[in-house]
Amino acid sequence: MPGLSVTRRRALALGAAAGGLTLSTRYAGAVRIDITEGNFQPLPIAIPNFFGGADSDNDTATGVTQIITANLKGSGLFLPIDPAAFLEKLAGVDNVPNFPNWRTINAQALVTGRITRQSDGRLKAEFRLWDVLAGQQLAGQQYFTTPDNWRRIAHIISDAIYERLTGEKGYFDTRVVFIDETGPKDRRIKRLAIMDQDGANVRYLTRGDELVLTPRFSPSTQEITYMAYGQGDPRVYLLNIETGQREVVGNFPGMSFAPRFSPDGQSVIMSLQEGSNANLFIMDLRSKSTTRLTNTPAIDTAPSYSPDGAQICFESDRGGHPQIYVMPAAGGAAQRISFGDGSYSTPVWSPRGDYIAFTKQSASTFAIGVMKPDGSGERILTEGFHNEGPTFAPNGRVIMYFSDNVGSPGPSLYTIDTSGRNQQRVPTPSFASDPAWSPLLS
Amino acid sequence: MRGSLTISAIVHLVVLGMCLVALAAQPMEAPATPAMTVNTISVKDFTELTKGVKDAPKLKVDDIKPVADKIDTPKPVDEVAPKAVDKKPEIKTDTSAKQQPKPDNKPDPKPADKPAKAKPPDYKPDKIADLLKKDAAKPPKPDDKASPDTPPRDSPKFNADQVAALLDKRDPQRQMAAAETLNNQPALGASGGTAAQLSQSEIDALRSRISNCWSPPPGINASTKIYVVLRVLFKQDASMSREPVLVEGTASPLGPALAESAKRALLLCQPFTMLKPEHYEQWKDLELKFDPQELLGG
Repeated sequence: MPGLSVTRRRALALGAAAGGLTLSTRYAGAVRIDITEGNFQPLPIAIPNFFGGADSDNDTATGVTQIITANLKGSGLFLPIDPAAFLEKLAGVDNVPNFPNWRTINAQALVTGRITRQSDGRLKAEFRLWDVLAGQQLAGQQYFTTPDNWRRIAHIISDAIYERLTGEKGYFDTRVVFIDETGPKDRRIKRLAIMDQDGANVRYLTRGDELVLTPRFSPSTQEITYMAYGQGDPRVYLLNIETGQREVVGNFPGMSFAPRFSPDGQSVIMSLQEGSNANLFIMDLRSKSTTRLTNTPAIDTAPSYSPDGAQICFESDRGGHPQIYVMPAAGGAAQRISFGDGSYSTPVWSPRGDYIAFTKQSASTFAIGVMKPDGSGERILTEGFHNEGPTFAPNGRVIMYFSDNVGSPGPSLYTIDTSGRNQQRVPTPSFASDPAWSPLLS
Repeated sequence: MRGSLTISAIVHLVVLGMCLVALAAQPMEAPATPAMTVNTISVKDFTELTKGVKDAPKLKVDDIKPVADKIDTPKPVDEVAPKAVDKKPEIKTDTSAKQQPKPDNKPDPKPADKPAKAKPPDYKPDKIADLLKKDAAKPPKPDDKASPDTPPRDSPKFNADQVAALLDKRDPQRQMAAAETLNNQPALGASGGTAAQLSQSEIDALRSRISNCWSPPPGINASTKIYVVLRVLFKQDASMSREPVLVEGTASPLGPALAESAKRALLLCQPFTMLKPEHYEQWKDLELKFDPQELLGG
């Protein structure tokens, strides 16, 4: 009997202990605190000069480092630390840095890298991204390319760093097609030009013997569609960047203008003139068949697809003033989404899908703004004498547009965040307008 | 035999049932509050907070009886006092109240003699002490004197009454803690007492500090619903004892960047000196939920 009672009590004690255990494990870490507020700050990042595999590679290595630094700084999300403040001279790209040295100068991220010319003439670029506070490597990659492609390698590395630290795709390895303007105001020569997003590697695609407008990239980044005044009426053209081959999109009786590719690149949406009106049409590039989207006694123009291709936004003056409308891409009723004072034009849907950017004209100013696709949350990002033609970077964070100030002899390109911060001028060889940002090249 | 088997079975079931209840308990949530609250506490509260429970002696299962509800009747005690205070130097404000329970709860053989000589009636309300002494079986005198008050407690080690006492043990303890004199003997010596609570002002100060240090990854936007929960273990000096561990989070390509930004914030801002050392038990292990949704107005 006592034996039995002992075992029972033991069992009881065990049960109680088990109960206590569950309680204590429940309590362990059970105090949960919600952090719902933060403080957006540019991330301090240290980018020491990349190593050159041989002395002859040092110039390229320095160039790559400078491009990465400029890219990250230009994004407004990073704060590259002045190399003069660095305490540690790195031993090599394969050595783990001495993190306290970098913590002391308040670096939170560190990039190390090396550029080496291979025996076959190619360039090998390696980099490592370190989390200084946690003392661990976040990313490490190596790339091979031809030596004349070194700028692109720098952009690709910038994108890798950007994506790893911000959680969104970068936009550095991209190009911009724009209208290069030279000559006096009354005899302006306009040429189609293409450049890297940072303004380097400018190339001219047309000779300037005809007026060109509204160039747009295809999703494949290999083709551009634009409008040009050739012989007779203005027409929409398709141009292959690599081969220079050019063709007219469709053969329509009147003017065709404001072209833009569909997200799958298989068709072009544009406006066709019908008397004093203009309506939207989609042309399939393979079958060459044309589909009418709108049929109104008004000017419907500047169509732009949503990233999923299901809807389009466009500008129409069917209500009296130009306003922005949204309708299904397969056709249907259009819904007006802009209701502010003034007139709205050149709507463009963000690749991220969250905003529609537009040009707004009111009184004597032109503003660039964004609103949600349902028309709510309208925000003006920048305002001035003449701002126009917004185009989104492929990650939807940055908008490029052109701006002409009072008394200035010609327009220039600018970028601004969708938050309205970080306005920057994009360097171009001469005046520039009508920019269109390409998707990511890689 | 069969009867006791049945009782045993019932008790097992009840204990298992209690386990289930304990398992189902929700984690303590600390909802976000925008304002900084300041707690004004009395000396008594402070004493209670700092009293802690870690050094409580273990009670044997057998010793616990549902008698503690009477513990609060205050009795003026004089001679016994000086001896008892030695072990608790930190609570000076409470000496008068503490004089009474000390000799009961703590030492078995030594004080037993003196109170026996001095004032036997003091022991009447302190039945736990009586029981302790009985169990020790060394001082027979107080037992005899106190015997008329205490319920008869005899040789058999196990019976149905005793089981009932076991099951009831939580209630008496709560009453003892709420009584005028403090009970420093928590449940089976477990450290899960509720006296030392992390105050709301500490939580808010910590939240505000981390928020200041936290720069969420810019990739998040109003359309991405994403959060991460990090488990953080702290050392006594309020710095982290090891790297925070991700315990929960939304599956998203943004997840790693969000978790890393949260870790960076913690690494950057430690130690969190607003956490008071006396509450260490409460904040040594925290779960921090980083949720940028509100930040983006989502």
